[in-house]
Amino acid sequence: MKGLKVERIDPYRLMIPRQACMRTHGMVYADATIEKWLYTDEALSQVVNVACLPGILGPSIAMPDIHMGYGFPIGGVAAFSKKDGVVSPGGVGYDINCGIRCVLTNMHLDDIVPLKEQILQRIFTKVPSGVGSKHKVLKCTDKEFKDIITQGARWLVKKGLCPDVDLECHEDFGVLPGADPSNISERAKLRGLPELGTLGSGNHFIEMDVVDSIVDKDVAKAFSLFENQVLILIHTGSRGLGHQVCDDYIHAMLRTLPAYGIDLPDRQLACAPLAYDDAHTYLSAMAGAANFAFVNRGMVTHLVRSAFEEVFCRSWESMGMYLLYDCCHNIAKIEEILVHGKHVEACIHRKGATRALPPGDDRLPPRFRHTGQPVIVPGDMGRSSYILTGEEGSQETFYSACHGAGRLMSRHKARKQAKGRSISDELHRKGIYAVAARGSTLAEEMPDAYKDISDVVNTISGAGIARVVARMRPLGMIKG
Amino acid sequence: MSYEVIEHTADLAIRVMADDMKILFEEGARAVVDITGARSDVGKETVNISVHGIDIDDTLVRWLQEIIYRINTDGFRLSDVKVYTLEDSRVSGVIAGEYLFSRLDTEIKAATYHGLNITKVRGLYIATITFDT
Repeated sequence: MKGLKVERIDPYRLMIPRQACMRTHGMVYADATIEKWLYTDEALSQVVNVACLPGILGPSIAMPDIHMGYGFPIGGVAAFSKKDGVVSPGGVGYDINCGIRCVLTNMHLDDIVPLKEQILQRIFTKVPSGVGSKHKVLKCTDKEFKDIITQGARWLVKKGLCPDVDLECHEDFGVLPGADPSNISERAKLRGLPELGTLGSGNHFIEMDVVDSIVDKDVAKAFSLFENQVLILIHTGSRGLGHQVCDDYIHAMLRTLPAYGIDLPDRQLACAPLAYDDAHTYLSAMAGAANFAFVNRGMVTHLVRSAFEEVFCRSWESMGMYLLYDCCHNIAKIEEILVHGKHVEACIHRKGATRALPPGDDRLPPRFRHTGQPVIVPGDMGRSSYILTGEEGSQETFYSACHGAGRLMSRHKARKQAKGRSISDELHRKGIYAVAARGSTLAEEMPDAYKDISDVVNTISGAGIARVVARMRPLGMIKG
Repeated sequence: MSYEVIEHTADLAIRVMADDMKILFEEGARAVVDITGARSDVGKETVNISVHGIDIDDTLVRWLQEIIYRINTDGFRLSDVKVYTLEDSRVSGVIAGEYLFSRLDTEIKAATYHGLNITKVRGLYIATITFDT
């Protein structure tokens, strides 16, 4: 953005002072390394645009994995007053509750290495992956669809597809309240149902990792993490159902903007005031899509567990394949936050960001109350991923942290740069086995297309938002 | 193809050009087909598409969204696209092809409004469209 004023406040924070239509300032978490990448796309102007929305509380925030999105930047966090603020479907995005979960195992690296490729191939066979992946066998009645939408992960427990103990290891215990199936269009249902229990494409993945460094021994123990432990990361969302819910409500809200007297710098920020029913109808549909996403990740987890069972001829329980945590990346929720030292309820938008509750927060189940919430931060295919935990400092980000490495390069550019290279062979030489539903995915998702996750994590821990518990390295992955 | 890819870090942006607004809408649809790979050589089925936007920009997004929906949900693969009428932010046209559910190259989740504008430069209509992919 030409002429945009940006001021460095400390080694980890940049401020965008109020300018143009901004109702508040912007706060970008970036050290000197991250800052170098900030000016390569329009992400900062998107931070500015969010700051122009009515009823914004505190700053328009960007995490260190910020990059250009549409409407909100990816890595954007914003809070809106329940009284005079808004909810914006574009501030959540099309992939509602795209999120990540970490599944523990009690297996060591040595147990896995000889069978790694066999396991990943088995998972790849079981989990429909890739563009437009659909489930060939799953049938779902109208009643079951309504239960999925309203009950989220609890539906999986009832169906025996998820152990009861996993429920508390989900953000909001795996179910967002207020979901009403009647607020979800028939189109969204038709678009989403065949895709339940599928991975999808793009940056969605299933990854096998090994813990290569424990940084905080006490918290790692509380999280059941140990060195050389094998973990599984699953990253996917609400599939076509979420895409259509977002589309339906952006379309509807664009038409009501004049009645509410809202003028926007970008139509993708179409929104409705939280004081009116239009906003709550969207939040209800969005909650349903989020619950659908919890179920989707749960069904993929069920398939991953069964793949392990088939390879090892043991039950998944005996392999300790319980959930560490599942958290949302794209979401809007009414949450209690601190603004100028006062506790207020606000509508928090996280678009490519993770909730990060600190120790002592009573929204956490007892097992995490003294440690803080596990925050799972995946890197690219060739470099580390991290498990963090929320810290007291997350108050200033409305209890939010980074969600990944953040893209540096467009898919188009990545494909060009990968021409003549075999990304699969490059990863193989590092001991990483990558399977992809289509050839170009590995090129688009190659490590060079992303920031170095360690720089992102250094910023977020340096700023006191979340601290590192453990670092993992990838053994192999399935890309959609 | 009368479109070009514009750099966009996370998603996909294109610029479509045509010397007529109706052709611009057709070219936008053809760009979607080209990006997704939702092609068919057979035009044995036709689907009428009619959408109404609040203005021309919105109408273009609605038109493309409708085609994206047919591709993703109905498995429709296109051999041809034709716009019949385009007036007062209302477009009517037809897509021809078949219900195939063939594997796609790229999934487009949605055509977005971000940075969308249709301009006319020296008699040429130009639209910049960002897709969530």
